[in-house]
Amino acid sequence: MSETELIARLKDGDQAAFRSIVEAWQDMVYNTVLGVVQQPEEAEDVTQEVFIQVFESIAQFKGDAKLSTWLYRIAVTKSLDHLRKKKRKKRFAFLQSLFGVNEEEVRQDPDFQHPGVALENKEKAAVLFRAIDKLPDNQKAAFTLHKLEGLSYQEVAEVLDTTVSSVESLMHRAKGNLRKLLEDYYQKRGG
Amino acid sequence: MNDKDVLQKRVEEALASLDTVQRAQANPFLYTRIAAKLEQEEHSAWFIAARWLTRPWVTVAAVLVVLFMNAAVLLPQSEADVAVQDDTQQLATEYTMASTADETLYSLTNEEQP
Repeated sequence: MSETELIARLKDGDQAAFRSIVEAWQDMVYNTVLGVVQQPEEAEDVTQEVFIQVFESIAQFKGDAKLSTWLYRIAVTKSLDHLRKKKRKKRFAFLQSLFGVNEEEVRQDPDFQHPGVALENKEKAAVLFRAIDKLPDNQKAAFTLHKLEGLSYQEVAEVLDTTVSSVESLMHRAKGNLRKLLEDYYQKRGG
Repeated sequence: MNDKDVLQKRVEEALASLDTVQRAQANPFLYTRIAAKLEQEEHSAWFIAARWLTRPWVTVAAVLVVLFMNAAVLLPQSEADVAVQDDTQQLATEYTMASTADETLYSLTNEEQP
């Protein structure tokens, strides 16, 4: 079944078409969300939200972009929203702990281990993911889409609704920031 | 190799650690979970209310009610204004007076001229 046919059937509320879309793109969406959110359980929840939004707003999909581009866009937006909410909650919990309202300790997430990283690279990748987490939102999105999903700069530009030169600039700044963060980390660790 | 070179090598290795990364795989039961969530949502009161309120005929009916209420408030007011104006004109005719400020001003300026 072609993509256009699938979309037309989904617009008619066809559950089988929706199932085909989920099954065809679930790994792509999950991998993108996981790269940004860096927590497997939370990534699964966000992935579910992405597909629910697809089901509910398919009528708004005009077909001017590829379905995959639209899916990536929703995945990135939802993931970044999730991170913002999480940060807000952490800040609130920290304030509560300061005033003794919430005695629970504000816990840091453990180092993220991406399941697709080769065993010999696990440790280095965990350090890199910690640095990626500190990047500004747009740099984080561009870097994740390019590095984890293997999208070209042109494709990243379509997902982020920007120009190729902007993506080049975002990637340049992201790599610069990551170098600085990694240098600091290894220097503190003692070389 | 000095310390700076070692540091740079470690940074480059970390940056290259994702070069051969494989795509992570989603839970094989993802669709079942999404379908369950959607069904749950469909039965929630908010979802039913939102679905009912966003129907085109409900929207059109709501707009018509608002327009009718506006008309009901504004129309009697303009009729009352016309009635008041009619009374003023009648009084002015009976006493041969100017009914509006413009006419009064016109008559006064004409009187002043030699």
